[in-house]
Amino acid sequence: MTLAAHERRWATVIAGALIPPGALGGRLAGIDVGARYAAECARSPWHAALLLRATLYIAWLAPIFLYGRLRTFGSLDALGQASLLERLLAHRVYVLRMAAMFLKLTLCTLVLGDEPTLKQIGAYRLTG
Amino acid sequence: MSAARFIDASHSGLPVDEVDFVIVGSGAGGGAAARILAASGARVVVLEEGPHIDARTLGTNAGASMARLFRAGGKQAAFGRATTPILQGACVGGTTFVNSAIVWRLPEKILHHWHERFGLADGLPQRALDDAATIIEDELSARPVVEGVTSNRQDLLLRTGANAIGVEGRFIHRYEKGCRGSSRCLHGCPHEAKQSTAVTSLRRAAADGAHVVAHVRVRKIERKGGRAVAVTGRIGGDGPEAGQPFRLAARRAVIVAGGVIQSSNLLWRSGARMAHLGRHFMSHPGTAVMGLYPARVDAWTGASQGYEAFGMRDTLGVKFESINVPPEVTAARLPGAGARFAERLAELPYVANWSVALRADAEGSIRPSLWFGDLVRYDLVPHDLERLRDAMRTLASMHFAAGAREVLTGVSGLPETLRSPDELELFARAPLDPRAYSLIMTHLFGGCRAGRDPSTSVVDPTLKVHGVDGLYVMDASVFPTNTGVNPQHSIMSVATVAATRLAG
Ligand SMILES: Cc1cc2nc3c(=O)[nH]c(=O)nc-3n(C[C@H](O)[C@H](O)[C@H](O)COP(=O)(O)OP(=O)(O)OC[C@H]3O[C@@H](n4cnc5c(N)ncnc54)[C@H](O)[C@@H]3O)c2cc1C
Repeated sequence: MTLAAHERRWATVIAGALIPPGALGGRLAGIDVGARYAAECARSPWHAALLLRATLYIAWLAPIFLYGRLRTFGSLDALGQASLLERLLAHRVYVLRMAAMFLKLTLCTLVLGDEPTLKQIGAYRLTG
Repeated sequence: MSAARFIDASHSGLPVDEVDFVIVGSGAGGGAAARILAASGARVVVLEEGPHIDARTLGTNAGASMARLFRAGGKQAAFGRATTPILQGACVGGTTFVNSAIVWRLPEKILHHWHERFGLADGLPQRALDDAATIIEDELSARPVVEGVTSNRQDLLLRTGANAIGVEGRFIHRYEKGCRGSSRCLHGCPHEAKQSTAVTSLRRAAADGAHVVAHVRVRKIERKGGRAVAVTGRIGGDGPEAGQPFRLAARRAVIVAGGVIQSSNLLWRSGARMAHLGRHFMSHPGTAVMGLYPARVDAWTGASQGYEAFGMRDTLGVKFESINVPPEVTAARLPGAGARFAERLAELPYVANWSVALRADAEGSIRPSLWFGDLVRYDLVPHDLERLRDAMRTLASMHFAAGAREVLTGVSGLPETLRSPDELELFARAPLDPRAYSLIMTHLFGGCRAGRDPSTSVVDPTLKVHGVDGLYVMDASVFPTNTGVNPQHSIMSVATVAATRLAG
């Protein structure tokens, strides 16, 4: 399953809102999350890829069904984006909460697993 | 010499078209069976759907490891009221390649129950299982984690917490030889110190003449006159032979060891229609309770899993273990988003991750599905949820007893964090709803359960499929119940006993 250009862009914007690029000593700046998200979809079974894609739409369109406003995730400021993600992660509707948790897990795995980042965290006795 | 017998079918196709025994799957059950049958002088081929991994290519990135070593890239799940992720390895060595190599013998109580209720006393006698377990412990170098060498701080904290509330525990016994404490068991051991079947049983089998063939997916078992005679399927991978169909004949038997889910579905796709096929799927669903400590914990040093508290196995049906969940996965469990999450990320070195594995009463089902490939349905029963909730509360209290300044509950409907033991009572308010918990399943059982009565089981006490000659199942799918302990050792012991009988 290939991701459209706008979906890649959404993945990048949402990742930036979840994990600000300045976190962990700025190691995350410059990562092309959209490309990684697309690769993740491409190598996943179709149903998982569909869910990966759906989570982007849920987050992107969440201002409409959470706040009743005709706005998208991208139109919120950084604070608004973060608080929207937090609301989704704690939502009482299981499907929304699960989608948000799956999105968070996917983005953390895609963004935080590089060696320089793991080094910054101090993991695995990685040196150099 | 034996290395030449590890073959990638994607590049060179199958080395033979007929052998004595065809074994489908190279994990705990398949590896153990191959070891015994090859040693008997029989001609054996092990067919594995996944790749053969060169340990030197293994890295620290959890996403990459998942994609390469796990079934469906780690994106398998069971469906019910909640969606519960299922992890299984899919490479040479099966799930033993990606597990923590924790060793537990099959508890006597469980075996006794299997003997009494399912009539397995002749097929799986205590004595034979004990003998098999002793040999496997020797061949796979079972030994405890050593304090100060392969233990880490979260292991010692778990010991402190467990001692404080009087729960018996010990340093974990693992299959390992020369563990350097890289804490990367779940990514595949980069030093081949973890004694998965890929570096033990399968190598021994290869030295005795067996072929271990990667990238071969068996789709069907062919039968002729009530007897299994061959397997057919397609070659996978991305070499020149990829996509080619194959047929491999078995003169004496086909042994199915594809793991729970795949084994019962392989039988189903091959036309088997016993009433209990694909039923009685059981598990030890697990979740983690994380503690944040004032001093660094560095969970990523030492053995991936170093300490276990098992004192509540017979009362609550739960077992606690320390575990290094990869940091990028642990991160996802830290609360918040944006700046709040970024602050939390800086606390990763201070996190101790303790898991609970629940011997759940729930039973689910497995079927092939047009859409999903394999469809697993599973729902915890209320009694399971009550015990899970109690166990999580106990883990939280152990964290506080060990000095945690905060406990991350991970339960929807409870506060994200507890800051003092006074707040433990809040657990009583945790919903008895599976959707409130972040569960995962790694210990799987059933689908082809063993039993004397063909109307309520799939294989007989010798693990031969009822009514079909020359067809056996030798993996965790034959277990009539879950075991309450880490299953690899039991699976290998059971397969060893059955294969020894088959070898004659
Ligand atoms: C993350 C994790 C950690 C764990 N830690 C422990 C632990 O510390 N101790 C413990 O005792 N247990 C542990 N377990 C569980 C244990 O590893 C499994 O229960 C055990 O390996 C199952 O053995 P098996 O033979 O049933 O299947 P597997 O070991 O899963 O092997 C089945 C193999 O068959 C292959 N296969 C399936 N279908 C086909 C087909 N059609 N054609 C060809 N090949 C096929 C699969 O790709 C796989 O490689 C862990 C599991 C996980 C996921």
